[in-house]
Amino acid sequence: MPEYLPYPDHHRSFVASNPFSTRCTRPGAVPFHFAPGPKEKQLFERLWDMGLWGQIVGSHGSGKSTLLYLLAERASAAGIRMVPFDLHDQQRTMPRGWQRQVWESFEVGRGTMLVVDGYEQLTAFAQWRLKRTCRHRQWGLLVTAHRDVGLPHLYRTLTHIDLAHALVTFMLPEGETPIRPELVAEIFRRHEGNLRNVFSDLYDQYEKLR
Amino acid sequence: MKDPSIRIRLIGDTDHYESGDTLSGEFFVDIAEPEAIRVVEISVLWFTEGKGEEDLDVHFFERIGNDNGQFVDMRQSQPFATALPASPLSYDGVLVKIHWCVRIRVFLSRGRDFAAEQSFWLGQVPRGQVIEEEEKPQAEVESVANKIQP
Repeated sequence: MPEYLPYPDHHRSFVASNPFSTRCTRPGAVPFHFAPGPKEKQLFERLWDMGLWGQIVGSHGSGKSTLLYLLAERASAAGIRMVPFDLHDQQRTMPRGWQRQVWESFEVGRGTMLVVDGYEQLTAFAQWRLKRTCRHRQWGLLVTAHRDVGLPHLYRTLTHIDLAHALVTFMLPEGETPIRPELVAEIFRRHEGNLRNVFSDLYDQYEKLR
Repeated sequence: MKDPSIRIRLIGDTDHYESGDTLSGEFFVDIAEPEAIRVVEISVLWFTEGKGEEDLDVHFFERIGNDNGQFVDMRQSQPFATALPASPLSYDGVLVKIHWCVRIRVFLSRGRDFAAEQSFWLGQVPRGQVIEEEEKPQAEVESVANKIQP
């Protein structure tokens, strides 16, 4: 008969059997490791001071979306209404009806902030229109991009091998060590620091070792 | 206040079930202030696990609200039961896995929420295996290459 099981973490499901599956590696499931310097609270204060306008810049798989999720949660807790847009596959324009989507979630007395993940994929014209609309409506605009996109700079995400080791240790179930550090280092090098690809590779490795 | 903890127990001799079986169980919430619980949601659901997009569907859902004037003391055992469907069956594959679980989610009046899950198996689909691609000898590879590009 199954025993009573406590739930170990609000965000992590212990049902998952591969610790590198999407549900365990998506933003919100993995903690963001800050480099020396400003942390979550200071970053949010900086974002606030910048009128809820900012950019998080970094390469593929460096934790931009994870940090975005963290700041979005904090902003939401501070009473700001978040409207997220996740752009991918070279999406050149904002999704159809995006302004209506923002208006539909309008609440009196709460600030509004658009959160756009993958902003650099928009054409220059689409970026200009989005910025103009946000400025006109007094909406905040927090974005992630692979390069500077002309918004106030909030944070630059970077990866390094120690971070990869720390995250792998965090993700592996307690007492389980089937993934050797040398293997993590080799995969990290092969994927040139792209942690999303590192986790994808480790998913396959974990399946082989099970 | 100490964070509440949720305990779930499935009733039966096993955590393996077949389609059409009745899954029954109980849960309770270990909490100092039971009045702080606004709503509890009971779900029996399946979800996929893998490297790509996830899929999820809720087979059974029940909401017990303390916000409708009736107080339910969640520290006491709360039963639940549902007949299990024909599919999808649990599957432990390499590329994709299908999990079934009971999920209890507790919403507190202060806006916080907590959840617990208890997994179980539906059906008896054998586990998927990693198939290693056999490496062909270099001579054989060259021979095939010569045939393709004479």
